[in-house]
Amino acid sequence: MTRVITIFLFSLGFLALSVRELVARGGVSRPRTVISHSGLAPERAEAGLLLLQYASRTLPQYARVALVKPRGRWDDAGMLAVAHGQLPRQHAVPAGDMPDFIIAIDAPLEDPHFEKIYEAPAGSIWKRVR
Amino acid sequence: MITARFVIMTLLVFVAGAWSRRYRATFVEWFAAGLATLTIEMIVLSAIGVRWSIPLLLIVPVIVALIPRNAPHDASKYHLLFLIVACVALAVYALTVMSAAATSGDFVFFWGTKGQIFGQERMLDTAFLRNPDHVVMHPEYPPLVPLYYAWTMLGAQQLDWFGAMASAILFLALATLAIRGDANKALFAAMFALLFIRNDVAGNAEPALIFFEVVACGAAAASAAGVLASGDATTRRPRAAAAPQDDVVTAIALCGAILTKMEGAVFAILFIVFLWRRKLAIIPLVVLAAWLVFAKTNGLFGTSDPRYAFSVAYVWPAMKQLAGQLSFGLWYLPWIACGAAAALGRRNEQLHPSRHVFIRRPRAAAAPLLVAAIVFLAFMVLTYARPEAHLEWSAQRVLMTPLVLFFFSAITRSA
Repeated sequence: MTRVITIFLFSLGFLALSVRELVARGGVSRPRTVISHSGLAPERAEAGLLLLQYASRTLPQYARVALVKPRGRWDDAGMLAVAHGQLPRQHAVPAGDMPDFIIAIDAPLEDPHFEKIYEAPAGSIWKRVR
Repeated sequence: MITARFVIMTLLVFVAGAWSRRYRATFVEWFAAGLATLTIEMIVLSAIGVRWSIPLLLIVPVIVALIPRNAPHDASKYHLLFLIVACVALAVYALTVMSAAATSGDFVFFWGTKGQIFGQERMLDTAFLRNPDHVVMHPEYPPLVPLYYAWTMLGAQQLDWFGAMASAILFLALATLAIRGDANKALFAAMFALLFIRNDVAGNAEPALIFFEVVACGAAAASAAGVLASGDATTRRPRAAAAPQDDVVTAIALCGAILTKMEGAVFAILFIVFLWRRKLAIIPLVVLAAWLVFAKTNGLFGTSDPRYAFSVAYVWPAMKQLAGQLSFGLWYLPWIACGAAAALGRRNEQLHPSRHVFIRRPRAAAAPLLVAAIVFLAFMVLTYARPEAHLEWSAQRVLMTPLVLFFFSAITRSA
């Protein structure tokens, strides 16, 4: 009986801690993306994924698209990985690989070959013009 | 939010694993068998350059499943209060996951992305993985989870990201169902729901890995005990022919663990060395060797991040850091709970024989499982004894594997 009660109390304790975690993470909600309430900066992550979803819907199929953080180019490989997953209709390519479009996160793109065609809270979409 | 396709394809995983009923596998174990079967088929077809299709992948396991054989099942008694606790714990986890509040960042970076690419190509695209631009996607990681995601999107253009994320709930629920004993179910569900939330594992490979480890531990512990009891515990009726069937289930689960994560391979080797020295152990070892050969011949190891050498000077710091991470940020409560369950079990044996998980020689598996857990921790120290090791990033996720071993050691000992 002692074992049963002990296990029961531990289980209830873990359960209570789980509920506390859920509440601390914003409680039950209907998220717009799979990381809307996860990670260190959920708002930025959500805005970024929403921008990518918009790009996936609106950019031409099979277009070559790069995803970059103009102020964080060290993360190009990570951005490319995300783009591969989030842009299933287009071809995600590295920024230096002659993309038709560039999605710039957090900061504007400073490249005269591209002009801005869309802006969102997370960043902007740029089209190659020359 | 979850598409019907994802649900149907996930249900078809059970169909792909239905052949395991020939070995008296439970419904939970069908899923383990289905995932392992599909993963192996997908790798083999990729290796010979054949693109996947649903009929092609299902035909062999379905034919095997249709070959008739008697497969009696043990009835189980449920202790309502514990069942409610387990269900509430799973519900809390489900709500957290579906609120996107416990999603792994790696899900978006590579677990889901690789599934998306493989599903679109209908192949395990080794050329994609070899590309130096894709090195951050860990080409060398075992592919079961991305292949599961790819399976769920066969015929579609896009992965159901919410469905893939929600699969963590399914894995935790099935792992809970695979555990014998109502109190043990409740403890496991509550404990691992909390750890899954705190470690943000939805969408990555930990839920699948824990699922396979639980199925392997459950089946092997039953096999080691010689006789498995669930509903039969009260009648003490032996399931005399249980051991060979349990061995098949264990072999399947170990294959699944190996194909899910690197830690799964370490788990499987320790499991075989310390607990499960059976003829069928050759199967997971062959699967491990085959995956390594496949990865090596396709250049998947050469593209990964540079590995820094092991350094003796870092062993002590790694041990100290790991000792801290062992707390899970929860005052070591998971270990204390398992330890208490083990310590208080024997007395309970005399008072409540009907609560027994295993009838005869249950403790045969307890010590080997405990030793395997300790050796796994030692392996972690050696793995992290490198100057660039990011112990605080991953240790608590990896520590869930020795916790599974410790949990099973505890509930086996206390049976």
